[in-house]
Amino acid sequence: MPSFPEIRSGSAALYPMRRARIHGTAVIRFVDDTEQRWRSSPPMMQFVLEYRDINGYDLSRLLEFFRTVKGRFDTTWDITVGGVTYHHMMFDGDAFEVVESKPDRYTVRLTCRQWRRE
Amino acid sequence: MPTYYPQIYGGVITQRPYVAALEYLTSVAQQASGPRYGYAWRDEPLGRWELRYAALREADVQALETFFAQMEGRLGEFTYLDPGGNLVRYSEDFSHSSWERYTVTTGGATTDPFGGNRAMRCTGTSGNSMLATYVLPEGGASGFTICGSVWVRAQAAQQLAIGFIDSGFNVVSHRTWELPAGRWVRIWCPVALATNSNIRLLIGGFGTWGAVTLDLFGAQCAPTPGPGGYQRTPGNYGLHAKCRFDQDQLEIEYAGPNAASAVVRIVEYR
Repeated sequence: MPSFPEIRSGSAALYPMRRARIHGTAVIRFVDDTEQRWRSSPPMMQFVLEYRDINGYDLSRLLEFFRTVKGRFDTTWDITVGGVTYHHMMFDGDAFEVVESKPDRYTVRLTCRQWRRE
Repeated sequence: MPTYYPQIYGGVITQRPYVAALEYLTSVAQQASGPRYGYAWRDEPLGRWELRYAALREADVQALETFFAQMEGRLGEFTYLDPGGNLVRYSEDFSHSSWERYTVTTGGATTDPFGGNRAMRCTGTSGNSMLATYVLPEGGASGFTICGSVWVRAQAAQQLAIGFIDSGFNVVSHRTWELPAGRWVRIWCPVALATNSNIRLLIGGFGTWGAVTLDLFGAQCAPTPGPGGYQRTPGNYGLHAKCRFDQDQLEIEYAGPNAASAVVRIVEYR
């Protein structure tokens, strides 16, 4: 099972980072305003990882991992953030987009999420 | 002979901010009952670039418009040398078959200049050892500016050359650097090509690499006047042979005389 790489700072993520806990609840509201609700999926975690002004060496580690899992194809990898390892992760998109704004400084934004629990 | 996307003043292909993307294509069907079925349509990702020119002179505008007209918008095919990529196929694996080794034996991995363990120990076995690899295998790039570079760590102070050779092993350009003992140094050599021959990057030669061991890391060739930020290959190869414009309209915005801006989008296809 591949693991999301650490960059030179020794962590997988840099600030700013967004982490979301997403519940799946289906809701049907009837004409008399009563409702029927059920849990459609267990809670999943989503991360928006933003790497600002990293160098080409760190960029190569991220890109290498993205190529290993072929964008959103592979759903078997994990990521460790804040000492917690989240399994069954997948990228939300197929594109790895890099913005070079200064010499040897690159900005990348990656969105990934769990697609199932353990 | 390839048709290359042009360089503008001084060997520059784009200005910053420069957006480069590699894109996979995956079909996903998520069943309501839980299982997820994915299908990867691409084994290798395709490139997509957005070149945002913020300051163009009139001559640059004309160069862009001439090339755009030659390609007839999205119709024509050209080769794009990605300035955010690396024209060396294997930048860290000097034992790969893409590297020609002349009396050089490759060894194991060792510490690299960024604190990792991705450098390679390479040992010369004669008085004129060298490594070479193709960076413009099809040639046809006369007038283009490229720059080759590599990180080197020598055990004792010595010299080392880096440069370019053509298909007949003629030297196109080279520089000889002084290496201190035990320290990483990035050595580099730019050249404005005056030949349409295919081009190889050369490390060593000129009697600068004797029977000694050198640690090498991150060989790179970029279509820029300087070495640029390091890009690892395989993974971010800079030569994309089948590209086209992603627009039929090239819009130039003039802020004043010799002060124009434009956005150019390029996509790669199979």
